[in-house]
Amino acid sequence: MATTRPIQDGRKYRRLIYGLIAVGIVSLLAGTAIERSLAGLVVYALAVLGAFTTILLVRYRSSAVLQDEREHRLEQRASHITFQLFGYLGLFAFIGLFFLDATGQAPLGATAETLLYAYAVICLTWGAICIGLRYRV
Amino acid sequence: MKNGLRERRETCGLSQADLAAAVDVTRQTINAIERERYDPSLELAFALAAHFDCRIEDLFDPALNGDHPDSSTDDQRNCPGGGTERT
Repeated sequence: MATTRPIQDGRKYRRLIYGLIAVGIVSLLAGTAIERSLAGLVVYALAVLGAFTTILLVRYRSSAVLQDEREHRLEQRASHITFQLFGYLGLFAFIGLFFLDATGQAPLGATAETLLYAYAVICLTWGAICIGLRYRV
Repeated sequence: MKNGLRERRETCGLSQADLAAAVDVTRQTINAIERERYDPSLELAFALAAHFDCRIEDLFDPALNGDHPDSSTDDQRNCPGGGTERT
């Protein structure tokens, strides 16, 4: 009954991708541990590049599918929850930081300012994508 | 969503892996649908209904407290490859 189908084909590629990423992370950590950070970083970069190339090849040069609709939806939910979490946390954190800065208790440092700009860029990007999607969907 | 997928599948003698391969999803997705932890897309619902040669509403029941859709097939009708005409 069972036949070879794209989602089943995608499993071997998923294993390859996860394996490459695992090798990269282990190499990075091992390189740091034995004071060969550059070597570890090079292996990590090559492994991640290999994983990324595999994803692109599977997507555009193969009939295999890396994930089915449920896995895709789970990823979307995870992204949504992550964004909401950091969105609300960031909002309250920056209000607190501004309050401390305004009252002179703790001036806003360069790091906090950089984070604030990054946060603003992410929020603006999200808003722009939302507007774009409203016109498309 | 309430559904009678497990009963249909078992009536037809299919494993979750068989059904997953037939409609091109993972076995975990079939398991999640059967446990009513995942509502399939319209596309997948159509694929499942087509596989069992029935209507979507024969498989899925949108009623919150409804009973499972009728899956009390006492024979192999509506099973792929071995069914008789639908009544």
